[in-house]
Amino acid sequence: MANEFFENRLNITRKHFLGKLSLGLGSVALGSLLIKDLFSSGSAEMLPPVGLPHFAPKAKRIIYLFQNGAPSQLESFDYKPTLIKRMGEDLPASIRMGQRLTGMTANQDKFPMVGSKFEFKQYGQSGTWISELFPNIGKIADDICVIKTMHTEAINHDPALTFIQTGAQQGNRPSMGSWLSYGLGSENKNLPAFCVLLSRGKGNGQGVYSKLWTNGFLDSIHQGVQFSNSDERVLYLNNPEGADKLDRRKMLDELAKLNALSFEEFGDPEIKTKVEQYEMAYRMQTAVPELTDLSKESDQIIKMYGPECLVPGSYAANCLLARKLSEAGVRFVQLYHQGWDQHGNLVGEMPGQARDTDRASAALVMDLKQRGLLDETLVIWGGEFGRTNYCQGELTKDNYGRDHHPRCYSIWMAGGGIKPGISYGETDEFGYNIVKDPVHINDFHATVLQLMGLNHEKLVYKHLGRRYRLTDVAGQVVNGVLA
Amino acid sequence: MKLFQRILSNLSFFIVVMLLFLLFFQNKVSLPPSLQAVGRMHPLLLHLPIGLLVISFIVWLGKKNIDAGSFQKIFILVLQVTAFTAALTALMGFFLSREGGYDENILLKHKVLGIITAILSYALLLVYQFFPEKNFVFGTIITISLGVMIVGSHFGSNLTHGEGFVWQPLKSDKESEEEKVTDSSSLFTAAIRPILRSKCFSCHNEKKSKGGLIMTTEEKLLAGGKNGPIWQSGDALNSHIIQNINLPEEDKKHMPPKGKPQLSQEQIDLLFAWIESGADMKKTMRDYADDDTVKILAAKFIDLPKAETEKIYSFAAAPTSTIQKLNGPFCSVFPLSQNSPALQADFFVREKFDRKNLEELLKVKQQLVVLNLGNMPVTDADMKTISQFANLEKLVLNNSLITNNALSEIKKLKSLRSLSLAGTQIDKNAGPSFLQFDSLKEIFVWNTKISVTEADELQKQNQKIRFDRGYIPDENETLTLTPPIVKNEEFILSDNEHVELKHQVGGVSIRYTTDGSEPDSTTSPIYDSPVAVNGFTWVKAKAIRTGWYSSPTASFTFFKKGIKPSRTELLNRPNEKYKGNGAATLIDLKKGVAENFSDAAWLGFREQPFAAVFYFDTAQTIHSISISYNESVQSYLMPPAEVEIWAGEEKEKLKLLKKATAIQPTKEEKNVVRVEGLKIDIPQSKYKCYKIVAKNVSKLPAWHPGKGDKAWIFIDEIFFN
Repeated sequence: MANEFFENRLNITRKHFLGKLSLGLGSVALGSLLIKDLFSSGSAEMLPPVGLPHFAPKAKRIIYLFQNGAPSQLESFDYKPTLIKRMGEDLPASIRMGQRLTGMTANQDKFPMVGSKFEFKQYGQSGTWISELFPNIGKIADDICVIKTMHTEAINHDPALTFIQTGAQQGNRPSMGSWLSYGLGSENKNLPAFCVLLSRGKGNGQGVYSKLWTNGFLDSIHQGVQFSNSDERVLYLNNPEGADKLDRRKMLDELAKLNALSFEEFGDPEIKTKVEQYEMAYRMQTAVPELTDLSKESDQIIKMYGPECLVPGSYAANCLLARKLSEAGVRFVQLYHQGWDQHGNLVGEMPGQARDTDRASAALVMDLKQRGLLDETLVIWGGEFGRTNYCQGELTKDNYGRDHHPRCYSIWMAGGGIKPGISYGETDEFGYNIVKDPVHINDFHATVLQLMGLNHEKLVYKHLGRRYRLTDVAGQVVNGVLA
Repeated sequence: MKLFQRILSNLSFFIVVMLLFLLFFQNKVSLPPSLQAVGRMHPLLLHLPIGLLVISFIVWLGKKNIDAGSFQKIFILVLQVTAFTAALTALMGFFLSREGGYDENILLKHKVLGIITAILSYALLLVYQFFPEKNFVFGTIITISLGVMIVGSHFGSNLTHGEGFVWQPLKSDKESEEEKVTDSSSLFTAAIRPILRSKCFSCHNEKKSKGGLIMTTEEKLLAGGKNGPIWQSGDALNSHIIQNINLPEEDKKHMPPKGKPQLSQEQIDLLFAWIESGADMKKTMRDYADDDTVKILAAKFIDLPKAETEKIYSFAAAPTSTIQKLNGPFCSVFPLSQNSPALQADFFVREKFDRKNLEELLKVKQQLVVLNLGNMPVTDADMKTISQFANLEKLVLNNSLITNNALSEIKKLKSLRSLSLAGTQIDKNAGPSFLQFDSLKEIFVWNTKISVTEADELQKQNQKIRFDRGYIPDENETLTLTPPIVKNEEFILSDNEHVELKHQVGGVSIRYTTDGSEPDSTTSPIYDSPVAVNGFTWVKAKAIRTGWYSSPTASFTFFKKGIKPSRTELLNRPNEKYKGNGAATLIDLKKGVAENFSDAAWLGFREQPFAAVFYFDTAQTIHSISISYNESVQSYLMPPAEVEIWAGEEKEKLKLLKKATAIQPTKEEKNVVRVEGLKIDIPQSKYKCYKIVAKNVSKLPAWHPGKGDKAWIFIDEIFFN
């Protein structure tokens, strides 16, 4: 009986339900009157950029020395004596915590820890730990900020590369350089705002492909321009034999008229982009030879960057060219150096990779500094993820390999707005997990944009009904690395 | 009455839902003034639900003494009024909170607890209405609501009256209003004293001076307790305060005593560093260097007003149209940021430099703060223009044509902070001029006529400016030259063609051999003009220069264009992936590139050896055959293990003329990637048909990553001479 009463009380009639519902909705509706722009987009902030920073920038240009294939942090900037002491011991499960592995080591029944075969030393007044493989970077220890706690979400090269370049693991978004070109425009109207230089070392390599410097859904004018490694560094820039400058000018003028007609008819903005590109290419004919001519470089410069800097296609040559392009106002110069994927034979391959890059990377920072340009140029050195603290494959007395490790890795930055001579963040004594101040890829992007005077939440582009950012829906500026 | 009750309980529901909604979007809420007024009635109303809730509780406890029928009727009404007033009070409180100015931390607690009280009050009504017999449930909820309400309203009173309001009159030490921390307050008052106040004052004050120590005033603090001063300036480890803090917590002398709030590690670090640095009680925040440990540690406890990131300029912005007109393809003028009146101007492309562009910048001479003329052919005469940019802060004149004379004009720039003169003709006589700049902070003199020692001298004379001398090569460091390169694009030469060598670094001499021997850095011929080669030739060369290590040897293999067979035929099929253009690939005179072995210039074999027949229309005199192959050790591309040459009048009747082997790479050559050649001399003969069999290495050597595996053999051309 009592039960029936109870049941009866639970019977809510339709009238009752609708009555309460409208009351509830009504209160929400009334409350929402107090909230401005709850359902609108806040359009004022979403206007396309005007080609100027949101606030005074610390850096005006970026040179990104991308170390493609993921150099080992444990043989470069993250010194872990524990790993040497406990060499060969199995990685404690309490440290690994069942985290994801790649298909390459998932079937290993042991994860023997392996310490760096290469010595570490403290450099500069800052006492930054750097491995003996990078003695020249050691010389600029007081100019750089080593971030030891970069971490990413991807565990394989392609998604990780795409992630750090575009802020998403799927390859349809604009690259960092394209975003900056979109947000800030070109400083020098005679050169592309985003230039790409490729080189490859002798180590085990991973591919680079144009998707990494794509403009994605942005205007194609923001795409990275890849320089060739031949003597003619920008292909097809020169006039064909028999055509002189005047002919070219006349041709372009006539072509522009035709394109204007076509634009009137179809209204496709890409037509205007194309005309602009032709005009820029025409001016590049004057601007580029001045930059790519390395025959006048002084002995001092050659010694600084190393004699390889005169061999087209070498990392050193690309560093030298990057400095010249940056000096000439190119907003974003991106280098890729392949060969850092040391799954095996790390001891054999890494010294060569380091030799190829150490001297020239350091020279670039010193060269910018001595010209008084380092304070407005941001230099970034690093790869797409780190390498495991345990050995992949056979651990022998004098050789080992390391698998992919997205949980932590080291990069360094120098110049415009970066606090010099510090190491930021800490990993645990095994170099496996982060214990202090993690920096996610989104945070890294937010910080880079901040240094360039852009609020990462306000640099947006509307595409397919959604507003996109380089940092997607995340990203915190890492204030600890800012000067 | 019924209607009134229904309205009341519906209104309560309405407000509770709205509260939850607003709480969720609280950061976006903006209030019209009318609601602000409503909000301010919060203190007026808030005591009502408090009282009602207490009354409900008391009445409910004593319900046995009241006759059930009347109790239910009255109690429902009381609960309805309680729920309604609680909800209304919470809503008003929410409005009031949007006005700001409260301690965020306490406010948040008060707000959340207040809203929970409102919800619980409404829940009480529901429970009683629908399940009046569930005594235990009701009792639990009403007790919780009472508790939440008491704690919540305590936070509320803290908000209005401040913490410890009730007990303050009883306290011995009336704390002076906390001083607002600025750059000019001493670090002691800003960071150290607050630590002492929170963790030590309670026992070491004028009323209660444990151990004879009073810490509340500076004099008494310095005087110390019965064991003397509590710190030794500059020696933290021997200071009582640090020693006692660091004792294990169980120790009787450990401070603060067990059970009292302890110092955090960060607080200890700061205290330690501050005593270590001399325990200066007067030193202001400003006097500490930014990278001083004490200041960095202290910063965690101080909310310094954030330093202005954007410099504020007093001048007005130039009209946009003016700025636009100044922009050209070789001169960019733009504001530093969207809202900044300050301008930067950059010049590009040396050969397009136009002095008029520079002079036109005078239209914005107030606004120009950064001027970059790096690599531009500006001269001393242009400095007359530049010296008119009164607010210029940064000037880049790297690699321009200026001399010392320029400085007499540049020094008129009163705001100039940074001057880049790298690569100019400035010399040490400019020294005195540098002293006359007003606000110059840094000057870049790398690669000028000012030597390193002279720059050091200048630095000594002038501490206010930082002289950047740039990179100084390490005298003890010797670098290795890169190998010479060959200018020829074709590696197949006809008679009387030449090989041209070059090296990118100036002042290098190239020594070379053409006989396959290793070039010697003292005896081999020096390259001075193109070298004539005849026939199959290895050109080996190395670069030499004093002060550098000689380069590794570069080896180039040249083939002689021979007699072209009329037809070829492959006896074994090449690998599907590397089949080039079939048999014709071998005599098309197209050389492959070693790195690009998947190119159609190459034929690749692994499962079967290379075997091909070459036909000539008429019998030819052949004295040598050269095979061009790809040696890319890491990619498993090895030289042929054995080559057989057969000849005869027709394919079916061939006899073996010669067997030969190629030199295999050694362990040291494991990174080799090159096109190599094997020249095989054969007894002079005259045949119409030649067969060549080249066997691949069947087992890779032990040092190779693929040891024991089969190697590949890649051939692009075969020459008959």
